[in-house]
Amino acid sequence: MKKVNYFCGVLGLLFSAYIWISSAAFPVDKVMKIGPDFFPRLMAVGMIISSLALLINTHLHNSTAAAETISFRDPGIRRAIIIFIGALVYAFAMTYLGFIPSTIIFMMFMMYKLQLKSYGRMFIVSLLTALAVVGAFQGFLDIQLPMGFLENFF
Amino acid sequence: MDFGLYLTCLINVLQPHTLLVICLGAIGGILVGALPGLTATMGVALLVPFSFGMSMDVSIGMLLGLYCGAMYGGSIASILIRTPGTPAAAATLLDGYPMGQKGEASRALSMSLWASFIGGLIGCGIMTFLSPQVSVFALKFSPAEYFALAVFGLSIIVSISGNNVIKGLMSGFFGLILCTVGSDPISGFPRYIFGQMELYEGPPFIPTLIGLFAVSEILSGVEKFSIGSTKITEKVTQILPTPADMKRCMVTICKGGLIGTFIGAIPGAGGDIAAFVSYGEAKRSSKTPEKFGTGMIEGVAAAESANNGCSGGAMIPLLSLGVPGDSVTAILLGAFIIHGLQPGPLLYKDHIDVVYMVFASLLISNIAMFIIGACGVKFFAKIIGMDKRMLLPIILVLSLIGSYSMRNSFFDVFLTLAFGVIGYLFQRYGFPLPPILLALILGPMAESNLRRELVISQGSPAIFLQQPIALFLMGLAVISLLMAYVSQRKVAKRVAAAASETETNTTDKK
Repeated sequence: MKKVNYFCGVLGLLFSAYIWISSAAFPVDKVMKIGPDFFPRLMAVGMIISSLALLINTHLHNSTAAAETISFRDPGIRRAIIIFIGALVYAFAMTYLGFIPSTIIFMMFMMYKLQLKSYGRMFIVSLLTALAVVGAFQGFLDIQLPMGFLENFF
Repeated sequence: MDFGLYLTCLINVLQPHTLLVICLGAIGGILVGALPGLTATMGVALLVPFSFGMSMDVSIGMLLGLYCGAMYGGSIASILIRTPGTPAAAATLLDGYPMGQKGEASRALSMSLWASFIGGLIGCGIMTFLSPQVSVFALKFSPAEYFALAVFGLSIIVSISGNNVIKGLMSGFFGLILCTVGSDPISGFPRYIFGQMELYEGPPFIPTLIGLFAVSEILSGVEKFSIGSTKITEKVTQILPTPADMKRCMVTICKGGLIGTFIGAIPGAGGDIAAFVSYGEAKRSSKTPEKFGTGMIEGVAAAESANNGCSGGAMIPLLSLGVPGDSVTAILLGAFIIHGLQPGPLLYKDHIDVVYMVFASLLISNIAMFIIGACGVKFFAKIIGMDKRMLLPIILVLSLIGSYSMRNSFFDVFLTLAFGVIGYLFQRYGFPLPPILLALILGPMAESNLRRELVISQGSPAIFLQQPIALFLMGLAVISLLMAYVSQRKVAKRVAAAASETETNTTDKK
């Protein structure tokens, strides 16, 4: 955890420095005097102080706690990354395919990655979820969901 | 107070048709509150057009039923899937979700319902008997007082940071910097939007919340998933809290109801702020504050009683001054105007029957919410026992659609996924998420009121020490910080002493 804390402390300092420097480009408010750069800079100072406190505290105290590292060889991490990419593709696909087909495909994919073996159950759960969401949002609350090529049917 | 007229209005509200509409409103409110991405404000706004053709008492009853239902309903998603259904339920997830994970979902849900009911009754009672007096107090809030309230709320960051206060402060400052994204509240200058007009109003609150809490938890659940851990076994199934739990939480609930009512009475300060302040107070006054965040029932009780107490509190400035207490009452103001009434001091003078009708409707709405919610507790708790291989995809789809539904925007969906990754990394490396949430709620209020007050005082910060209420709130913030620090030192000593005692016992046994 020591290395992680050093890394996070330095990242905090760099982030604060970016906020401080970028806010210099904000226009000066000649009427109000206190312009749009005031609060970001104030918070950047707070972040600098707490980042330094983290670095100093880490240096002074020997932490025996181990940080959970991210290893791409870990099957769990790989599964999470694949599902995250799947979610991104799902969001893109929804625009073209519409909510129902893309949701069925994505949910079945996710259940498959979570080692559910029954394809019938996967399909039924996905279909019922998609229809329930359409019913609740579009039918009851009148919030339009992207329908894609099914727009003419709903 | 004309008790005869009040009773007459109560009997009118108890007519079958009005009662049915209130119940339907409460059911709708619970559903709206429970679905991530839908807020009480949205639900009330959607129902207002339906109230055109209804009589005044029926339409107000329906809207208040939905309001009370939604304030409770938000806790269902918080406890079961770590996604606050409404911003006001954000504090509930701190202890509600861990309780669900320990197989105590129905215990958490039943306490949430009970605390919501009692908190709502307290708010209703104060609204009925003390509206004019409380509204005079609420009117004294200038920008200095609002800033001091925000600082007091932000001081809770230390107490909800868990074991690592420094990382909690870093999370809080990250959240406060995030609040500066979007147009500057005074000059309108766009800050850090990188050409994306969707960020002009700042990072949208609900998608950010869903990403940080729900999506990050789903990613973590997917990573740690194993075939043997597909279900959580529910240990207790109950509809109402046990007498022991009720006794344990009664003081917390009463304090939460009072805190929620008074904060709700301040225009612009809503259930989310009230819930966190009440949670912070419950933790501060607890004998075991270190256990908060791990599944303490008092944490759920404090948050829920405050956010439902807020429903009565927010009605106080609306009825007595015509100033809405929060976004929901702003829409209720529209409902009054549709029916040809103008809330304010003249409403008390010319239409006192309408005022008493609102008091009676809120009372019946709270009771309806309680009965309907109690019927659903066991059903809702069963959701946590579902196979995770099916539950995780359902929650992810609901979360993404909830984010989309706010503005019909895919940008919000991608933002949710991005914050999901940020939340996942924050948690993995020991940075708590609740301080970010608190900062997102209070940051805009803090910045705009700080700058307004500094402009009024021409740059002199001494103005914050010259306003009595602001000074009092600042003092409370300092005391809260000191007490949190002292409490953490005591807890650390207690934990160290317990650890060395265990080590001594182990050595003796050898």
